[in-house]
Amino acid sequence: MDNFNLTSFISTYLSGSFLIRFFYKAFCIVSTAVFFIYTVVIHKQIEEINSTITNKKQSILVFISFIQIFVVLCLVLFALFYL
Amino acid sequence: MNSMDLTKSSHKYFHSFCIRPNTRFQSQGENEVIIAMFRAHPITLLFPFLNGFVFFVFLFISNFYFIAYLNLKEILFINFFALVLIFNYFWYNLINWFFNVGIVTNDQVVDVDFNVTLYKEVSYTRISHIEDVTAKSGGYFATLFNYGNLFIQTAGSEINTEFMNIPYPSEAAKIINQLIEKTHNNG
Repeated sequence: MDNFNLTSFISTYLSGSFLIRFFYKAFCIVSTAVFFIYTVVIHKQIEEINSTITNKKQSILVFISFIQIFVVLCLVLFALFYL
Repeated sequence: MNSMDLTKSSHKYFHSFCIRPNTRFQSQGENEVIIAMFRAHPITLLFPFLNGFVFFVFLFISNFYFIAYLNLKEILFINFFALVLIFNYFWYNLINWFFNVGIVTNDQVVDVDFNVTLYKEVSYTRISHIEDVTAKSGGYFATLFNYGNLFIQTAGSEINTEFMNIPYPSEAAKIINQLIEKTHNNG
């Protein structure tokens, strides 16, 4: 703890620009995670309604909703590791 | 619209007015045949799609401001996320339109009310229990594109069924009335 410099710690991690970046990243991660849950709910609902009404196009709808889950998962990873 | 043949499979307006569709529903009986299936007229999707387009234009204009304040990674993320949200908005409306159907079989009328995230409601009404069928149409767009609401009233405390914004509501009412007549004649 001899090398710990409180002044440099505060200037680095509690500065205005760092806090803005921190909250921006936190906001992005939380919003994409919530959106990811929402797309999973949509996928489940589409599967559920497909069991109620059966037609030829149901596999296309399930596939598109699955693609959406994959894209949003990429967004979550983008927000976590690249942003 | 000319009187339609109820024995041949046909569909109009992007499958929003289907006769003998290639569709089945969960509680369909073995001898039960789907005579007609209705969805809202596709023109009702115009306003949500226009909204989506306005969001897209807003995103495009916003990028000129983002350049001044954000770095490349942040701009990329915002654009990617906004495009996914806009696509989801289109998708949400399309799915709601596609799965909100009214089905008329030789035995019953099935009303499927589906909201992607909130609820799913399927109501069944026996043709023999139907008291009155009313087709209502009003407004500039409804008159221009010939769509309206169909109200099916049942006896007693049973739930009344509504098909909203379907194309040719009077033709749909005619189909149901023919089935009621047939059911009463058969006893």
